[in-house]
Order: sequence, then C-alpha cells, then structure tokens
Amino acid sequence: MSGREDAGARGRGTLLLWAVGCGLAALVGCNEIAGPIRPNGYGYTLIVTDVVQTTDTIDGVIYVAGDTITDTVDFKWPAASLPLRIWVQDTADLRADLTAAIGIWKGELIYGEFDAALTGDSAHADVIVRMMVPPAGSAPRPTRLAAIAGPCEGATDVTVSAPDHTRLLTPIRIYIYPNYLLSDPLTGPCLARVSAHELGHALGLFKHSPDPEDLMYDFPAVDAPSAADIATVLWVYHQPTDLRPRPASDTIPVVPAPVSP
Amino acid sequence: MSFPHRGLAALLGLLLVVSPSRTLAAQISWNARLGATYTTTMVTDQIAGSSVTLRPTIAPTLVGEVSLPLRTRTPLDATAEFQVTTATLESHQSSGTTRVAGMRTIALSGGIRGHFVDVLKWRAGIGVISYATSEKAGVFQAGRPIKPMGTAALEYDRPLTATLHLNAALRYDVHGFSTRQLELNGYTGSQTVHRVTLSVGVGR
Repeated sequence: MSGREDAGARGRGTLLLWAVGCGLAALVGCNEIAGPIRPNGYGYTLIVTDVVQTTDTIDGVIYVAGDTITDTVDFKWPAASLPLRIWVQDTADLRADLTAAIGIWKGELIYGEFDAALTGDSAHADVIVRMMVPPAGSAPRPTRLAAIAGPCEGATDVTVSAPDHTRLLTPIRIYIYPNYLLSDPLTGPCLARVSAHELGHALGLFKHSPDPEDLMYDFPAVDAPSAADIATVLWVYHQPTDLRPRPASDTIPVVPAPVSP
Repeated sequence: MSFPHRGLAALLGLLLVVSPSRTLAAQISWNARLGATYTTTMVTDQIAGSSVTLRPTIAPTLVGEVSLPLRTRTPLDATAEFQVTTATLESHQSSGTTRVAGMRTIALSGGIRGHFVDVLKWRAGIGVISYATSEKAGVFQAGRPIKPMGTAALEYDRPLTATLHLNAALRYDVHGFSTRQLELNGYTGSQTVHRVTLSVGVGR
C-alpha cells in the first residue's frame, strides 16, 4: 500500500471511529431513572415512660429516684445486624407466612436496608415468632403493639432499656394466633397478612397507621404495604434513629454458681 | 437457549459468515486481558430528603476477544468480545455506604476493529450486557436484566515474541439500566450507565 493510500485508510478509520462514537451517543443519550412520587408517611415512633429507681445521670442530666422520664424513640436495624435472624415456631404455615413477609418488606427496601433469614437457633435470634396468645406482662415490661384482623390476631412486644431509653432489647417477640379454626378458608390469608403487619413493627414501624388502606393499620385489611407504608419505612431506614439493638441476655446479671464446700 | 447464549451464537455465526481467504484457524487472532472496570451510578433516588445512589465498586475484569480480518479496502477486523466483571453493589447516602449484594456482569459484543495511529487500534461494537447477583437482593430481586449495549475502545498492540503480542485496551461501553424490581417499585425510564475498563493482557 502506498503512503497516500495508507493515509487515506487511516483517515477513513478515524472518521468511522467518530461516526461510531456519535452514533453511540445518539443511541443512548443521557437519561436518569425517575423514582416514584411518594406520599407522606405516618407516625412511627414509640413513646416510652419509665420511673427512675435510683439516682442516676442520663444524658448529662441527674435524675433522682421517683423521677419520670418520657422519651419518643425510633429504631431501625443497623446494617451490621443484617441479615436479621428470625426464629419461627414450626406450626401451621407460620414459617411460610414469615418467609413471604420477609420478601414483601425486602421488595420495598431495595437499597440494602433490610435482609432477614429464618434461623433454627432461638437463643441467638433477633426476632422470635410464635403461634400463641401473647402472655401476660413479663419483666422487663415491653410495649405491646396489637393487631386484630377478624379471623386472627397478632402482637409484637418491643422492649426498650430503662430508664436510659437508648437500647432496644432483642429478641423482639411476635405472637400470631388464629381466632377461627386453622382449616377455615379465612384463617390462612389472615395469618399471612398479620405476619407481614407484625414484621413491619419489628422493622421499626412502632405505631399503627390511621389509614385502613395501609398494611400497618391496626385492623389490617390489605396484604401488602401501601405507598404510605413504603414511604414511612423508607424514611425510618434513611435517617438517624435513637435506639441500638442489644440482646436482652446481655442485660441480665450473671449470678455466680454456688461454691460447694 | 437463553438470550446471552443466543447472542454469543449470533456473534460466532457472524464470524463464520465472513469468508476467510485462507484457513480460518490461521487467520483468527485472539487476546485475553485482565483489568478493572469503573461503573457510573445505576440508580439515583431521593429518600428522607437526601440523595441515595446505587453503584458497584471498581470491578476486577476479564476480557476475551477473537478477531478475523475482513476483505475490505480499508484494513478492518471483525471481532467478538466477552467481558466479565465481579464487584459489590453498594448504596451510598450521606450517612454511609451499605452493601447490597455481590454483582457480576457479562457483556458480549460484536464489532469491527481498525488501525488508528501507529500501535493503536480502535474498536467499536454493539452487544448485550447481562447482570447477575450473588443473592436475590436489592434491585435484582425480581429478575436480572439483559440490556443492549454499545462499546468503543482504543487498543494498544505490540509484539512480544514471534507469536505473542502484548495487548492493552481502554474500553468504554454504555447501556440503559433498569430492572423489573425497579419497575414494580414505581421507577420509570432507565438510567444511562457508562463503564470504563482498563485492561492488559496477551494475544496471538
């Protein structure tokens, strides 16, 4: 090939390269994905009140015995706690219902805010789910969030450290139970719906929605989170929260075994 | 046959259709390179008054390319290329970074290559890019997308031995990103994602 032909070939190659570049730019353009328009959420914080037992300094303030401390607190599972370990009693379809509930909330929290898996080890679970009527009060006293859905009911016990109100004591305990026979066609869907509702509480939605269209309404009638539920849980997981999780067993003083003579 | 496999078969078919003047094996050249890929933001959102973005970490990359000379007046090669990247998909917010999932991409493309200047060559092509994640997580929960892609590259090629060449490439590709999960969550449109890969390897 002569020098002139060689230069011509290079020129055509350069032109072709520019043409391809311009073609690519025109083909794709510069677009941004558009997120959904989200409504306002609803209140989700927990109000906790405790009476100081002994004189103590909390957040730089001295409290004497008998003083009352009231705080509004919120909570989300930190990334270090994920995936959540959820122990579920192996009865009826409860494990399947909780698996579905995990999928429902994971589907809304797509930026890695939440993940969970069922575990067989209840001693190290972050959340424990049983099919039973919630027991009468226990110590330390939890805040009970209850839902009624006709054929079934549910409750979630949330315990905040007292009197400092800085820790959420785990495991969170969820109780789900049927009011009708398990064989009743209304019971299964109800248990699934209440499972998703109670898991919403365990995620940090510590109040009920005032809107019957929301999954977190106290008489839940829908099977999936509404736009308001989603907006609320996204808000919780994308701003700082007050409480950090801490296993309740860490707060129980270890009693030394008696020494035999 | 899945879409990426059909794409690969089409690329191989394209190479076979181009009739060589001598035996095919003697004319096919190849190169394999290792490198790193930078990817721009894949999703941007506004939540709780702050910006949340999703993008992968810089990804270790494997590139393989085969080419066959075309019988054209301007010396051009028909090329087929695959590129595999492995990274961690992360979401970024002012409060910190969160791991979403392990993420792998496989890109297949066919194109042409020509001389640019001296030891530099250019390559341009079109193809598809497929995403896969280590677990069903984040924006990939409802499926993994396969998207059309355009690519362009500058390649450096220099003989090492009688048969082996040193090869380096600065490669760019672009595609529109969206997933079924994003659509289910009410996101519309697609995000233009640009990727730049720098790689070095050998070829024959």
